Amino acid sequence: MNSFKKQLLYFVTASLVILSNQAWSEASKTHDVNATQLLKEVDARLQPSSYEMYRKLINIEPDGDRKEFVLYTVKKGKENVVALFLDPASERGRSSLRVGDNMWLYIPNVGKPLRITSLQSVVGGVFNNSDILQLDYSTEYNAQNVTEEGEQLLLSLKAKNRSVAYDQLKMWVDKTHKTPIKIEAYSASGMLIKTLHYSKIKDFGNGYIRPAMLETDSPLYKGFKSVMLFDGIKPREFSEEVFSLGYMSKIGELRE
Amino acid sequence: MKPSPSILLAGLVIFQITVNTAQAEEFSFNASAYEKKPYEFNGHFDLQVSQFNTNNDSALSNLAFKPPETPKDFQRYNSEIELNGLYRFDKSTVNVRSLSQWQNDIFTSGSEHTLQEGFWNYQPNNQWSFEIGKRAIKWGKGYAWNPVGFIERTKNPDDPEVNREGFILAGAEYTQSLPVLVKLISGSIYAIPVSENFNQDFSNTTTDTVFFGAKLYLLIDDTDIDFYLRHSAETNSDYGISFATNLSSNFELHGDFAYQDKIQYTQIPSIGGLTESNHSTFQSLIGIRYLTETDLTWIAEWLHNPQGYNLSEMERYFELAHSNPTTETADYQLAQQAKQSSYGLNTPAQNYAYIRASQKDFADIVYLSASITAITSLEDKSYSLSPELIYSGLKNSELRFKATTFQGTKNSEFGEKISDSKLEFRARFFF
Repeated sequence: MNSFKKQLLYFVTASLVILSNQAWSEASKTHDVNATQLLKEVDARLQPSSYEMYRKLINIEPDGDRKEFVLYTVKKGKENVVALFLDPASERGRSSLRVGDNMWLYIPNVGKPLRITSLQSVVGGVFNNSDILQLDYSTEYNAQNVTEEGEQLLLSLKAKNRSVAYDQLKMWVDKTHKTPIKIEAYSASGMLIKTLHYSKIKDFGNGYIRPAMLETDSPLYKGFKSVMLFDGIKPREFSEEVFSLGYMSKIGELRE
Repeated sequence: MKPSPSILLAGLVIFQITVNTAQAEEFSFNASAYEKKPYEFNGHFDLQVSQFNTNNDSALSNLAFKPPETPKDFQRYNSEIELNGLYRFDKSTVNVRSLSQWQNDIFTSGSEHTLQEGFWNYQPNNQWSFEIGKRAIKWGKGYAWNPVGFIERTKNPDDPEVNREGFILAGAEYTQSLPVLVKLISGSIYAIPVSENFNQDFSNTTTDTVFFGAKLYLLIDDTDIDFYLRHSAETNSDYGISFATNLSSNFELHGDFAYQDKIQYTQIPSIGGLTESNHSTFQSLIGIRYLTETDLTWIAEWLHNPQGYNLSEMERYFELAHSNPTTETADYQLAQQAKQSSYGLNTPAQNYAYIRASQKDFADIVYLSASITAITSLEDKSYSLSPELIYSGLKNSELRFKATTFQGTKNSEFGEKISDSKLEFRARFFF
């Protein structure tokens, strides 16, 4: 092969490499964009950006014993959420507030809000603060990619910063309703912390057709299971002042 | 007679329908049961028994029992009922909290009923709130102590979460959210009347018929900052600052700093009776809250009280308290008087540390939390150590078992307590 042909071959090869790399990069970007769009759609399908909601948490022990908690939750925008315990009597009046990465716990006896950490459990069992005061997934996680798995889409999510409770999530999304079916939560070391299973698709009104039940199990709590039931999800606007320390003792007054 | 296959099949179908129905009903939730009602009523009922092992050689047991009548040990039986009531109308709520306590031990037997809170709250919108009545205001970020609690009763570090009685006051609070670095600002002001009939606790610190308390709260980025003021026209003002912030998602730092212009201190002179003097104090508290990966929560606080009693002043008090009630009657009575004064405070000395480690789901038992708490007087190195177990797995109940040992040398704060160890068991039922 003469030198001209060699040079031509190098040029063509290099061009192909550059072009394919660009094409792959574009495809990857498109993939990321699609993943990000899908994650935002999942958030939008799960709940309004500002809403009120009632939840029942059921901790089920290996012997079948149960402990139930009822929470009233209000959320505004991307950063503000507050949850109040309505039941059982031993927890009644406790509230947890989240403003961005800040979290506070109000216990009636203590009488003043205390700063708490995101992973601290306020009720015992599998659920922790981050599960109870959950912001939109797209607020806390970057969507890395999305792949098809039969009738489902698999989203890979990475925490935006270290203050997020779980470092990585794998989210299986129902193609029809664009709502999660299963989520696996992993620590930074890659250890599976818990698995969440969504079920019982229900029409909550205002165009929200989403799962009404969330079951959670964790390798850290062998034999235990936690169930979260959703009801009364409806769009509602709140003033910013509701999400303040002084208001934590009055959250129950927001109910209608 | 064997059942036919069709009957078996029908039976199986009925069984499956029953199981499905049971599963469908297994997890049901109807939020309408939790809509806001005009009335709310709840509370708790406690039964507690305590065993005290008397420290026969201590100063405080000498003051309490007059040897040789000192018992080797004694028991205390407590019961309490706390009732909380709330009535809603228009934009108002009427809130009531009462506490009825019964106690029986070697010192006393009887009951006490107090209205701990009873106030009317009017909230025309989410920014303004007005209150009048008996109200427990709680200031500061400290867990074990409340140096900036200018208008509240002193915390007991041995049980910081116990409810405390409020004071009669009128107050207003305004909250405003802001779209800047200061995310939220909130200001509150309280007028507190003082007379022979109510709020007598303040009669030592003011001769006014009314004084004022005020708080300004700011959420700056991710930090809570509070400024406090207690102002009286006839006596000088008290000032306080507190802060709390998360250095990381599992590490919280907080602090309280309080300057009080006139605090009454009792002194034991070398000759004669007790002397009273007013002087200013500057108390500071620095604390952390840290959560490990294994769900172990650490709370550590340091209280610095430079105007408190020094080592020699505390020793002088304990030496007096060791006096023989028969042959050294004057000294013994002087010690009794000192015990009723600032020497009998929860934190009479200059430096204290509070360290508490609590583990959720202890020994892999869900709803069982175990903790150990140490409170130490840093000058004399004496301390109390309290391991504690709380089980909250039974619906609407909490079982608490707590042991405490008091350790210290002669004439040290915790070494001279009335007992050298105690055991407590408390059953609390919520309704």
